[in-house]
Amino acid sequence: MIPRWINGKDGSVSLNDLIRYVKGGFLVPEQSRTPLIIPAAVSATVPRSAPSLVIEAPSDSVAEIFSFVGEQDTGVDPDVAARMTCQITDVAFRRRLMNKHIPAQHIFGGAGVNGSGGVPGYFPLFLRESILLEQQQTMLFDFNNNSIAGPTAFRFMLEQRKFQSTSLTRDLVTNYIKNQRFRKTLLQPYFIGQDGNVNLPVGRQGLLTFTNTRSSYFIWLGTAATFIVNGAGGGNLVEGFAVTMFDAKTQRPLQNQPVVRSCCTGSAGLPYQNPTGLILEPDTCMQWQVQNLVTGGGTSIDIFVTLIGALSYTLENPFETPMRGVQVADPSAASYGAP
Amino acid sequence: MLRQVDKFLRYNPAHRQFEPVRWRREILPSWLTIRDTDSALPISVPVSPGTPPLTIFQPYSSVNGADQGFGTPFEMRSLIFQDDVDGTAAANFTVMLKEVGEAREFMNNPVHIRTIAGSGQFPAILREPYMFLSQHNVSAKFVKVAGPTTQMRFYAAGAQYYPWSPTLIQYPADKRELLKLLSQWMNRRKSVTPFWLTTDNVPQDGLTPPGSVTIPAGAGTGKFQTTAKIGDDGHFEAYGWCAVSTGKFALDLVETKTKQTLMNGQVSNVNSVGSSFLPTLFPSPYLIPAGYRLRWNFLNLTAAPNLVFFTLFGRKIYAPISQVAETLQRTAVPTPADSPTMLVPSPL
Repeated sequence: MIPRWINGKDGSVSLNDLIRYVKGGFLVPEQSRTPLIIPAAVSATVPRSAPSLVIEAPSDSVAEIFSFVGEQDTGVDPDVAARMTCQITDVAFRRRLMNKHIPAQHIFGGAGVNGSGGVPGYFPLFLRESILLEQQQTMLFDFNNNSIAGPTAFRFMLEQRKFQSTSLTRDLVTNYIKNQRFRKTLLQPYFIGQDGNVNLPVGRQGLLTFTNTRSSYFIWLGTAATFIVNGAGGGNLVEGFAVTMFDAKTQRPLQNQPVVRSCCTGSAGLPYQNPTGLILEPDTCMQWQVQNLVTGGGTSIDIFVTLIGALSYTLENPFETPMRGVQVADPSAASYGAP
Repeated sequence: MLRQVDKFLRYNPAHRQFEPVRWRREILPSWLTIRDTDSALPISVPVSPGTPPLTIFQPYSSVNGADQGFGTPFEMRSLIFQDDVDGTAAANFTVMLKEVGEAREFMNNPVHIRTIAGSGQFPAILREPYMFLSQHNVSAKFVKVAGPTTQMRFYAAGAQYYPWSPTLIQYPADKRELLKLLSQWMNRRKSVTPFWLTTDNVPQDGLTPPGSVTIPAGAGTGKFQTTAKIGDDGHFEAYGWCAVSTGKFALDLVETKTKQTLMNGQVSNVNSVGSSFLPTLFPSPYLIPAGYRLRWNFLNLTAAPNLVFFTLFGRKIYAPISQVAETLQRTAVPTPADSPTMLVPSPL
């Protein structure tokens, strides 16, 4: 991220000169004139998918993506908005930004009062690590409609910083981009969704698990959560559920008593920001015991929780390791029996 | 050559790869609430005299004394609450926090919950984190402002330190780093704590909580004057203010000894006062020396009597300030001189 102001050692404050070479901008999918319409799911367990949507960086600039914004059109059923999921792939690096399909409401914030799914978003989802896209590099967005209540009508965009190719001769810019390229080999924004779906009947407790990837450290920085009440419920319809969280590797509890939803989670636009980041080791599993606070006849709730943060690829430093020479086949060489 | 990607990752030349900063792994995000809350059930808060003093307790844990005497401290960074929707006047309740063992109060009078605690999305960030030591207690007393009993939950959010973690045995340099940070906190917490300043007013009706004021009826005519004294035990550095009221009002604030004012006329609460969710922050911290007194001149902008809870939030500095210049009100434009005079532990 680029700080707008820079503090000098003598206490002076000056405008960051890098700002002069950066433009703001937006990236949308190529089919952006119409919303993404996915028909209702086949059944509660068989979703319908849309073809992958492609977002491509401009050909004349390097793009640094720093936030996601999205919304459902008016009239979309709230159940559809709440259950719609998304999976994002950075094609150039062959990396996914999440472990599974994540609720779109947990990924796309709002630009004003209209958040995704009619939920006030207020703010975009600011990524915990920006994504650098070289010229014409692409990202794929795959959406599912998991609700049988109706079709989706979803629009989204990414906010970006543009480094015009004309500015790429400036040391200030090239050094910044070089640094970002290096960071990208080690860090990327990442979302971890719960393993499996959780449906909790009245007054019951359940277990949510969040499994980290096998070879990377996940730095957990914030949380978004939503819940859907099935049937007419009573009791605490605002809070929905309370949780008891346990550290992944050491199983240490993170609280002395259960914490209710609104005090430990947020939304895409305003996620709960952890007071300090928590490093989850590779291949470890964080557990959340959840308790349904909704009471009343025949009510159950579906719970969706997403851990927001950054994934660290602790690779060998590519800038320090000597590159191995590429073996090129030479038809004139000894393998063909030449003298 | 980039040696540190961010504060969580550091290059290890021995292994020739980036690795997590181990001592940061032993600081976990955490929540602390009333000790005897039964499961996730809320706490019932009645009107005066309110709840009995409830205890927020930080337990002790260690392995073979490997904690170096620090135990398992909790760094309180923000306050969060959740309550029932309540339609009564100035909903919902007040809170008074005290450090039991050290006999320190965090406020001069009870303050309204919506001027001290926020939500998960808008937590009320403490301007000075409070290092809550193992085996220490903070007592919390809640009083409903009016109407029937309400249900609520109250949490302190922050970071839990595990200096004794067995994981650190393999990383002695990281353990030293963590212990050094805790040593800085131990020193700092002796002389700087979070603090909330509200009015010294004590209503005589026996029902309205202390700290609140009721501006007499009359739009543009109802006036009320009240004061608050900064205790002689320490200076107060205010970072902003917030208020809860039953109607619109205007105010001006005067420091009585120097006659310094923060405004050249009365400002309305809509224009100048936020809540704990989105408080109004001063452009520069306002340092009020020990023993000084603030005077509020309230003007009612509604016809009905107006119940107001007004809170300045910041930190109390229990230490002598060495330079005379530091006792003066800070300038509006931040300068290097505005940096805290005491050492600040490395931000996490």
